[in-house]
Formats: sequence, structure tokens, C-alpha cells
Amino acid sequence: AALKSPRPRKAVLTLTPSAVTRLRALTEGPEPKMVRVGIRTKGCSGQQYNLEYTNKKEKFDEEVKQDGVTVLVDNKALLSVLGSEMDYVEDKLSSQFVFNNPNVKESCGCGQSFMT
Amino acid sequence: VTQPLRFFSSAAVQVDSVPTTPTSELKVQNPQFDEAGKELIVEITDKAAKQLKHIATRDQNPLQALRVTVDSGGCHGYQYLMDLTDAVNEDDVVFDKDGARVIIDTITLPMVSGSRIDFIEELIGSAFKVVANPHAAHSCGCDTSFEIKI
Repeated sequence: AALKSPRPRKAVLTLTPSAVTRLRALTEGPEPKMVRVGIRTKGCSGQQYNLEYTNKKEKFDEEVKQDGVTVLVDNKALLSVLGSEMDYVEDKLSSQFVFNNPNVKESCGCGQSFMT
Repeated sequence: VTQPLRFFSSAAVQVDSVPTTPTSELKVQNPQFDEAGKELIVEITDKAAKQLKHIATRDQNPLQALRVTVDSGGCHGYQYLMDLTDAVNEDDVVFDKDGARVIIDTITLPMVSGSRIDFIEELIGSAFKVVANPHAAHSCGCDTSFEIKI
């Protein structure tokens, strides 16, 4: 028998409207492409987000579907990003994805490196 | 058909007549020199120049320039600050590449001379960065904060 949890699961990652718009622009095209969120051991606080293109879902990737866009979360990054909000912030000089992560204990001045 | 052909041939003649002149030259206003008399300059990459011109067009301000400052802060002691401005002060050095302008004050310049002002585009985002700074000993993962070589 399939063991399926009857409870609705909390979203691994939520996307803000601006993140959805940007992700849609990034993944549109003739070839189906997806964006995978991973984590690299880098930066002064230990870990750093890493985004990459992929065309297939790996076995242990967590799939986040929202407003028509799909984001994959690397299995190894799952515990670190659980419950985060993915935002896309644009200002006059730069534009980037920002993660509002409730698990972060310590983060770097640039907001790119963090520790959970 | 004749018009585009004429256009291409005249362009080719122009290139042939001045083969050594680079297409983009760095113009420096208020040049500064180190103790050995070497000029302190930063390189503006093509990508950074393109983005700066895009910003100037977007904001309809051809004098809009990128101001790079070094301030204390960040996890490695010093950090780069980037700002857009059209105000040039007395102690500023202005680097102009094809109309793309970078302003660095004379206090900051000795700490960043020899580095490249680049516009880095990655999937996670895009931003101006100071890269390959010969005066930086260690830098942070994000390349925003660094330590000065003594």
C-alpha cells in the first residue's frame, strides 16, 4: 500500500510574484528548462546559494510548483532552505534572487553566504 | 543591394587606414600616479561599459556614472560600495570608456588600481563587481569584502 501522508505538506520554498516573473522569463523557450536551487560550501559564513539550469528532475530533487513555474530544490539543500521565501530584487545597479530563510543563524554582510 | 555593399566597403577602408587604433580607449580625467610614477588606472570591461551605457540611456542621463568607493566594513575589514552619480568632486578621478564612466576618489583609487570593474551576470543575479584587485589579500565569497595587502 502506498504510504501517502494525508496532511498537506508545507511548501519547501515559496516564491514571491517578482521571483515568479523572473523565473518564467528565465525558463521560457523552446526547450523545457528548469532552475535548480542548490547550496555550495563557499563564502565566509559557510554556505552559499547556487542556481543552475537543468532539463531533468533528479531522483531526490524536491519539486516546487507555483503559479506555473517549477523550481527544483537539490536534496542536499532541502533542510537548509526549508520554509524559505525566494524573492527577486532589482535596483538601479543590480538584480538578484534573494532568499528569506528562517533557518539562518548567521549570515554575511552581502547576504549571499549563510550558516544554518 | 548597392547601398549595404557601399556601406560595408567604406567601413572596411576606414578600418584599413587606421589599423592600430583600438575601438575603445580609456580616457582619464585628473590622472593619479603612484610613487614610482606609474599611472593608477582601473579597467572597465566591455560588459560593464555596456551595462553603464544601458543605465545612462534608461535614466536619460548621459552623465550618470558608477562611483566605486572603499569603506571599512564587511567580514574582511574593507568593502566596496557602488553607487550611481552624476556629481564629480574635486578629488575625483573619472575613467571614461566610450562614454561609460566610472568615478573613483583619490583616497580609494590606490586601493583598487589595477583591478577590473566588471558586470557579472549569473543565474542568481547580476551586479557590478571589482575583480582581480591586486591590493586585496583575502576576499569574501561574494567579492564585496576584502583585506588590504600590507
